[in-house]
Amino acid sequence: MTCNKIGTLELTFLFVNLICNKFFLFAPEYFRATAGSGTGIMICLMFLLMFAVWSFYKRRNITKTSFGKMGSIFLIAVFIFSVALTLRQYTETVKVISLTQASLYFIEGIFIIAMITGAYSGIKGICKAHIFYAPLIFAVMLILIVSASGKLDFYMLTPVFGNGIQSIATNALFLLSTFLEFTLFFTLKPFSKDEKSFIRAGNLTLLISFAVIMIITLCYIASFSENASVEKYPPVFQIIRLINSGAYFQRFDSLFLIAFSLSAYLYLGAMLFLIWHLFKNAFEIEGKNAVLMPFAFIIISTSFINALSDVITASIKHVDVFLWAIPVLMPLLLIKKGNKIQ
Amino acid sequence: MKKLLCAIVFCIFVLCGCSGAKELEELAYVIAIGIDEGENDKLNVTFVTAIPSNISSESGNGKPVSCITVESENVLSASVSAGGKMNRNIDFSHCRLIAFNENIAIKGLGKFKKTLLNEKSFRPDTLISVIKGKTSDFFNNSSSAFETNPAKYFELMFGSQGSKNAVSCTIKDFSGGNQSILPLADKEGVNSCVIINNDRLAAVLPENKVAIYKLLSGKKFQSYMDFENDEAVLFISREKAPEIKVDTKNNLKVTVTLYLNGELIAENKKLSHNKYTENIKAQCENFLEYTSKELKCDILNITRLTRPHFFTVSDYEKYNPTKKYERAEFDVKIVYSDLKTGERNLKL
Repeated sequence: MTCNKIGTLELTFLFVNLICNKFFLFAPEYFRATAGSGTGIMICLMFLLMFAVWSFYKRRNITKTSFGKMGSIFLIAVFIFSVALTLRQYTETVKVISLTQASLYFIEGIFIIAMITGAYSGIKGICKAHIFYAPLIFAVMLILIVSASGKLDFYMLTPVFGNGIQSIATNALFLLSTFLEFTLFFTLKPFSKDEKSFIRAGNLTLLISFAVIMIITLCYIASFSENASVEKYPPVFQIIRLINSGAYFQRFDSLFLIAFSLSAYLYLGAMLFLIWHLFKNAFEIEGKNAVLMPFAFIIISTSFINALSDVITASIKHVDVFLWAIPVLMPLLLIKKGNKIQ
Repeated sequence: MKKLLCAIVFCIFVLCGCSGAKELEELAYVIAIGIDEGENDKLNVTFVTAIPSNISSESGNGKPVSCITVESENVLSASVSAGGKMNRNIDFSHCRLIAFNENIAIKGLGKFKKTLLNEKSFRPDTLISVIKGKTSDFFNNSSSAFETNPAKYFELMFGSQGSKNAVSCTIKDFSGGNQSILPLADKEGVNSCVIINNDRLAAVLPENKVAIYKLLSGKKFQSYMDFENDEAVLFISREKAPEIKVDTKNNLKVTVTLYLNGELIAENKKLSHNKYTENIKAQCENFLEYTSKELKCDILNITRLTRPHFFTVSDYEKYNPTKKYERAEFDVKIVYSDLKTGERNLKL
């Protein structure tokens, strides 16, 4: 195991990408639809809640790496649906904004290959790829978004409490589902160098994610009124299309596409690996990659269901009611009773 | 297994190159679109396409653009018909201008918003304008002795912010709300603007009101202002963006402070600028009264400045700033400073 130890920043960027990745898709629009101009306060509250949850767990002695058989199966099912839906969203987005003439299956094929290759490279490979590409991806995205800041209207972010304090508080709790992937953070503790490094990685992950989510979401709300935004394009893509300064400093759509696809490749590979990792720990399977391919096929076939997004959109109201509880409560299963770090 | 995967990844990057390729010779680059009324509620859509060989040739043989007009229900379906007539695929990625006929603007422009926003190849900074008379005639007769590149020509004509009588409006500005101000052009060029309220043409602004609009909206501005029955001319330049304050207690009160630099150009050296700045102040207040009370239109988007005064959206909606704006009181203050020696020339 010693050769598989991963550093603080590697772990940090792995989870920053897993958490923030959905903000390159449609999460900012969903946040705006939920909280309107109160989104800024809602994000702050959401992160305060998540920091409280994290502070609770980081003081506990998390020694187990498995959520138990039932817990793991439940989590695997949730993550398979989540990854399949994300894979489908990536595919459809790339088809809408770039490869308009290619077939959906062809585009999905590219993502699938990236997903399987990523998962096969193991935790060390995934982390190495993340520490190299993730800072680059976020830096490029944030620079591009800030470049469009001349077109922002910050009055759109007011009234700051949007639909009211009660609504913000309720939605902040429900939207803790944004940190669904953070549940898996605890299962990687054995790979961490030491306790300190693990805690620092957790703190950094939440801080960086907070900054990224805040900037992307608020810039989107400040640049597009509900009338001017277009449903079928991801919010970040719409912001980047606003950059236009002179004849040469414009049309950065392709740069967005590269950063977006890279982020998607990293996300899919890491998630497939982590799903397999959950399964392996729960059922104590030896053999390195024995069940990796079956999981890949389950995700692929789920994402090929044409009505997938419709089903999930229809059930999202019911799903949201309990999804927030996963990152908040599930890590309880990893705690050994009565142990607290001195 | 790893080798096999590497081979597949390599093939994907190498073999997928040309599946959706678009060759330059197969495309017709539209640089402007004109939309006129057709028969039976249809549209006559004029596509102005660039002829690159004529743009680049120094001899100036032939027109740099070709215009083709197609009758259709919608701009996008018209582009398919036009492409068929030209034996090329229409490409909007270099489109700089979308011009609506005045009558179409009177009937309503709302239905075009979704089309313009949804079609990816229209950039959000594509310019929008209204044309007096048929847009097809305007495009067929438009040419400039100064500019051979037609895209640049339209950009200069409709995108110019510097001139007194020109404003510019892009797809993003136009689609963002129900109110916008668009340049109005005829065969001689842009000479005034139109106010679009609730997606319909509400009023035509004369040249002097356009200058006032530009001063109030904080757009970069410098120009010579002349006054009726007066030989003096005032050179005005915006020193910094205007400060607009709103008071939401009871009735809406709007206080606008304009920061202007200027120089009075007159035969009589003893003339003071006060008379002229007072005139500008009165014109600004008239403009605000006219747009708010007569047109019922918040063209400067002042109501959005009231948003920070409320904590929740329901409080904001209860206050109903749009209705309050129609009865708002306006106060314009002008902070004027004389340009120092040489500064005017530097600014010009």
